Amino acid sequence: MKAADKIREALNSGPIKDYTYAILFFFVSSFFIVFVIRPVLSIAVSLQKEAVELEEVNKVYEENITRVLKLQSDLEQVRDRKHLLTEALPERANIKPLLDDIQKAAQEQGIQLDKVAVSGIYLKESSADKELATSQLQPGADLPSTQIINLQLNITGSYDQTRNFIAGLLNQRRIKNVESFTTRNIEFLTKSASTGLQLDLKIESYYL
Amino acid sequence: MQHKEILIISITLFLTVVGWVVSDLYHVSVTQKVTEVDPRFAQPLEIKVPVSVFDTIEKKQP
Repeated sequence: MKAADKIREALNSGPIKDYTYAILFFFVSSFFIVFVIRPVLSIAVSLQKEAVELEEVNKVYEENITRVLKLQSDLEQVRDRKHLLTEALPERANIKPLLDDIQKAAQEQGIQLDKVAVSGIYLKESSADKELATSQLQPGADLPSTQIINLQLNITGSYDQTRNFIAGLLNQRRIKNVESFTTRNIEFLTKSASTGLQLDLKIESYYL
Repeated sequence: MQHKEILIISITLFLTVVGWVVSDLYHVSVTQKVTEVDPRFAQPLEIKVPVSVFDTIEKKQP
């Protein structure tokens, strides 16, 4: 018997034929999985994940656009009143208007200003320093805080005058904060309230 | 080599390849990152204009 006949006979026998097909199936399947199915599935999974993440980014962008539009609307609403911010919190110390405010409030209430001391002001700050500080701001970083002007007042007046003086100060547009007040005498406790009440007032005002 | 042994090898190879592909897909789904988005825009904006503050200031004495 020739060799070819032996092989043909072997291939035609039942069990060997089944094994051959199975072996071929697994080898070919493995080949296709590695070189065809895996790249396609990998790309599909990658794109799907990218789509999900981009949807989230898109959602944030849409929210941000809505907020920017709202912000724009609010800014347009307050654009005409922008000067109020400058009056309340000026860019510079503007000491004279501040002292004028205090003097005006004192005159209105008949308060006697014994002493006014101002501290916490940088009389000279180059614009280069401000530009440097602004340029160093990173996105999302906190904005620079406001500068504080410390005022120390010694005043004399009645209880009502003093109370109205403080209320008048706080009712002015330039932002002021009464840090503390202490009495220097207690005559008003023993005598009439209309007698001199001497107060040491510590006030803070602010600028950018 | 017997046919049966080759069959076992081919099955093992097949299962290994399937497992490798599944783990590779899992790896892709876990590690794949979207191209870096500018963080200034990826975060929700939290800027508000407090309009009521203007009303409050306006009521105060100039």
